[in-house]
Amino acid sequence: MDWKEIDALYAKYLEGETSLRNEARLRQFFSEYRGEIPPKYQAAAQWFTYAAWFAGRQSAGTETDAATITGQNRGTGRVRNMFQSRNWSIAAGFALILGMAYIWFTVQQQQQQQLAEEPVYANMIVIDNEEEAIETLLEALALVSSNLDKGRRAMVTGLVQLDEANPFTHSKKQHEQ
Amino acid sequence: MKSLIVVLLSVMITSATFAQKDALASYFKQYLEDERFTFIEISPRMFQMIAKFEPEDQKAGMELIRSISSFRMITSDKITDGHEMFNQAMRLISTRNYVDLLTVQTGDERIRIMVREEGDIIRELFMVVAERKEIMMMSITGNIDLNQLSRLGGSLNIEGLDKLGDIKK
Repeated sequence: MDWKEIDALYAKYLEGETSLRNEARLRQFFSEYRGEIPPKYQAAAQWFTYAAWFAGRQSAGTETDAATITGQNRGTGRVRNMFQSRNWSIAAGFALILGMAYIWFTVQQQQQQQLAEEPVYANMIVIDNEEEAIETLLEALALVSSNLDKGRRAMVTGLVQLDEANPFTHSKKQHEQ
Repeated sequence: MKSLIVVLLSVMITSATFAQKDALASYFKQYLEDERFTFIEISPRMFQMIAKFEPEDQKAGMELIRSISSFRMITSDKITDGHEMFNQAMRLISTRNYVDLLTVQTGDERIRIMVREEGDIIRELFMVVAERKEIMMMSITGNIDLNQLSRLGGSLNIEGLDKLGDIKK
């Protein structure tokens, strides 16, 4: 490409009549030209060199974005979906545990408050002596135990009576005797 | 992480149900305000002290006592309709929460023992003993071992219902 052609293109550029292809040609020329630039094109040379550098950077950026979107860099550790990260699941787990613990403590507190608010009745005896409490509990447990035993004995007596009332087993026993 | 959440949830549920009211507080509040009845309670703080208490003569049943977390009892010998009250009590108790352990009816005496279970653990033992002229309802909560309880009878010489009513006011 000679300066004549560049001069024509540059004149078109200043008139605003160049196509994108013409502008790309101008950028390419000025960015690659290593010779002495006439004073008339000094400003144009600087501008088109910068425009070429900028265009190159933009296209490189677009390539990076495209790679991110298509997932070409997946697995390299550079681009990651933060919601798929392990740290997020751990944080969510802790948040859940904290929430549950908060609910649990609130419920416990309410229950204790309810128990504490229970009225004191006129006919109520509260045992607050250690030995008396133990004696009372032992008596209560023994009473439960003796009633359990009573039930067991009643059941055995019932079974014996049932056995005696059963004509088949009764006659069998008599026969054995 | 999942197993940790499951463990945490089960601990919370267990604790929440453990803290629930006993049968006396749930179904028989009307008797607590009735002057014919005496209401006996061992304060929850006392159970914390009992857990640390080491009696000089190791009494039989101490291990069982340490597994108890609350004790309440109402009793009366100023009634004339004990049997009717007994039947009414049985109608009031939710059979969804309490299962029958024992029912004895001999002459004038009616006995019913019910338990509230959580899995294999007995959380509450509720007993009603009634005669025509007296009634006693007792609720024991904690972690109750029935085998231990049934063995206890032979090791103590206790008269029974009348002795429990003799607690000084």
